[in-house]
Order: sequence, then C-alpha cells, then structure tokens
Amino acid sequence: MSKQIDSTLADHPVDGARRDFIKQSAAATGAALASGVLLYTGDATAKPIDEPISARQRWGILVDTTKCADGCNDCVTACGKENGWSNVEHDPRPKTDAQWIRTVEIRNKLTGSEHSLPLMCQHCENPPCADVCPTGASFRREDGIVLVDKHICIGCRYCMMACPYKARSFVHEAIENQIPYAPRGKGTVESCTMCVHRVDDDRDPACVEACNHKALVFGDLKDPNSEISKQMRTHTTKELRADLGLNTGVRYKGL
Amino acid sequence: MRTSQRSNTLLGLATVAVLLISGSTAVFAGAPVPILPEAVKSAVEGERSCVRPAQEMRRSHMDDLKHQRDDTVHEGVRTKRFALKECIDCHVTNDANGEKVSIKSREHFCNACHSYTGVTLDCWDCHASQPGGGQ
Repeated sequence: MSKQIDSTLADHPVDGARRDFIKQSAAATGAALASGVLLYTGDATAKPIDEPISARQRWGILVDTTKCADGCNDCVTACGKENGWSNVEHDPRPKTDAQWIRTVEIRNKLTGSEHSLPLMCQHCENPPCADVCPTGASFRREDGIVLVDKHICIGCRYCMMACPYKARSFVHEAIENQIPYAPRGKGTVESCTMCVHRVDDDRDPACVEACNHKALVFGDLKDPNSEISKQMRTHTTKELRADLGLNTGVRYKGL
Repeated sequence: MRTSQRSNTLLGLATVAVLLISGSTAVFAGAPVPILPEAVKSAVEGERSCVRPAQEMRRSHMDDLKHQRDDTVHEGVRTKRFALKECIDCHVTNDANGEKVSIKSREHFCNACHSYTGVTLDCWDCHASQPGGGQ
C-alpha cells in the first residue's frame, strides 16, 4: 500500500505554485477567522448568468416555528409585494384570490400547544403537481425549485387537486401592471417560486429577508457548510406529511 | 420569321414585367404603413442598433424570445440579450404627456406592428408591457 502511494507521488512531482496557493489560501482563511469578521462565506460563488442551473445545489428553507411570532405576517406581506399577487384591485375574495404563502395556526388537541407557521409550496423532490400535469408545465428545476411554466400551462388545475399542501392558486381574472420579473396572468396556476429570480441572482427569497424573528433560513441543502445544513444536522426537523415520502425542500423545526 | 416571333415574345414578357412592377408599386403606395416608435436607448453600447440587424429582428424575434424563455424558465439562464424585459426597457414609448404607454395603446412598440399585421399576442397577458410596471 505504501509503495503504491510512493509511486503515485513520484509520478506527480509537487506543483510549487499550487502548494503556495494553498498555503496562502489557508493563511487568508486563518486571518479572517482570527479577526472574527468572516466566519461564514456562504454558498459557493454565484452562478454566471449564462450558465444553466445544476443538481449540485438543492435549495431549501428551514422554518423555526419556535421563533415564528403569533400574529406576525411579515413573510406573507413581503411575498405578496415582491411577486405582485397581493396587489388586487377588487375587494378581497379570500376563497379565490391567489395565496402563494399563508400563515397557519396549529394546535395540538392533547397538549394544547400552539404554533404559528408559514405554509407555502414545499418544493418536493417528488412533486405530485408535476406527476399529474398533463402538459409538463409543472416541473422541478435541477436545483429543486418547483415551478409552473405558464407558457405551457393550460389552467386545468389538476396540480391544485394533487398538492397535499394546497399551495397553488389559480388566476381567475385578467391582470395588468405586472412586475417585470414576476409574470402572472389569467388562466394559469401559480405558487411560491422560492423567489427564483432572486435565487438566480444569489439573493435570499423575499420572505426570508423580511423575517425579523430570524425564523426562516434559506440555503443549499447539499452544501454541508451552509447554515441550513448545519441547523438541520444539529436540530430535529420535520417535513409536513412526511408519510407521503415527498422529500420536501421546506422543513420545519419545533413542531 | 423566327426572329420576329422571338422579339414578340420578348416584348410580351417586358410588358408583363412592367405591368407587374407598376401594379405592385401602386398597391404599396396606397397601403398604410405601421409607425414604429424609436427605441429610447441602444442595446449595443455606443451603437444605435438592436441586438441583431433590424431585418432579422423583424423576421425572427419570436424565435429568439421563445428559445430564451425556455432557457430561463427551465434552466435559470438569465442572459439579457434576448430577454423580453430588455426589449421593453429599450423600446418603451412615451405618450404626449410623457407617460409610458401600455400594450393597450397603438403607440406601444410591439402593438404598432402587431395590430398592423393582425397578430394577437398573449405575451402581455402575463408579462409587464412597460418597464417597472406594478412597482
């Protein structure tokens, strides 16, 4: 065994420049850590805009229900504003108006414990919406974000029936003054996009950014050094309706 | 005999050609042409031009847009060259009051041609037809 290693080393003489680079990088990291400024550098560098996304990442959101405050609606308001779905000109019609995210109050009947939590598209690895979609409009991106391609959505609403989280909405009325990066229109189904326009721009989703209680963490589930992965490693987290085996990208802590 | 036949044939052809040309000119001269608003800025830095020559854009802009839309929605490619949003940012039109016009107006860049050619678009059922719409 040792002979093998020796011969391998002999075949590949040490690359001085590379070794120097590694040394310098290590020194830089050490300095940053020592100063206490740069502890977490975040996910890998941002994807160039002309490159397609890949399965190297899987985006997810961790909701800490113990930090989620009663009566707080900041994430919902931020989502509605960011994506333009709360900007309705008519009187509110809660049964049919679009809801990309909503807050839900749950109560354990036995213990009486209560929780408030945001509920949106859970970005399943095996999304039932995509399974039933007859045109292929519902799909999961390589990086785990579940979307509706409204160019090919025919508005049949099978996906709305299939979703166990009631996360999808149908647009019933013609819309004007859309937001340039968030197109939406009559006759198509829509849901949380995990703010895909922001994610592609290396930014956090609007709900995560808006949460003052730090109850939402966004990150790459495949990167062991991401904040979300660290928290999921050290705390018990749950996926809603785990019995369905959907492997959701949105997880809950404290339920 | 042969020569005269040939010259007759040539004369006939020439007459037909002249008729055709004059006829077509008459047709074009009488039809209204779409009034295309000027782009407010240039897509190519330092040049007064679009992302491709105007003749090509007129013929095949829809192919570029369709290709780009699939790349963007499914693969997260967000290059700006053929992005609809960039078209709108350059080709926005202001009305007499200096307000940006929406797709409802005949002055809108896209509508100017499409209403002329009788093409109904559904891009604007979902997409913003003015820069910064809804904000």
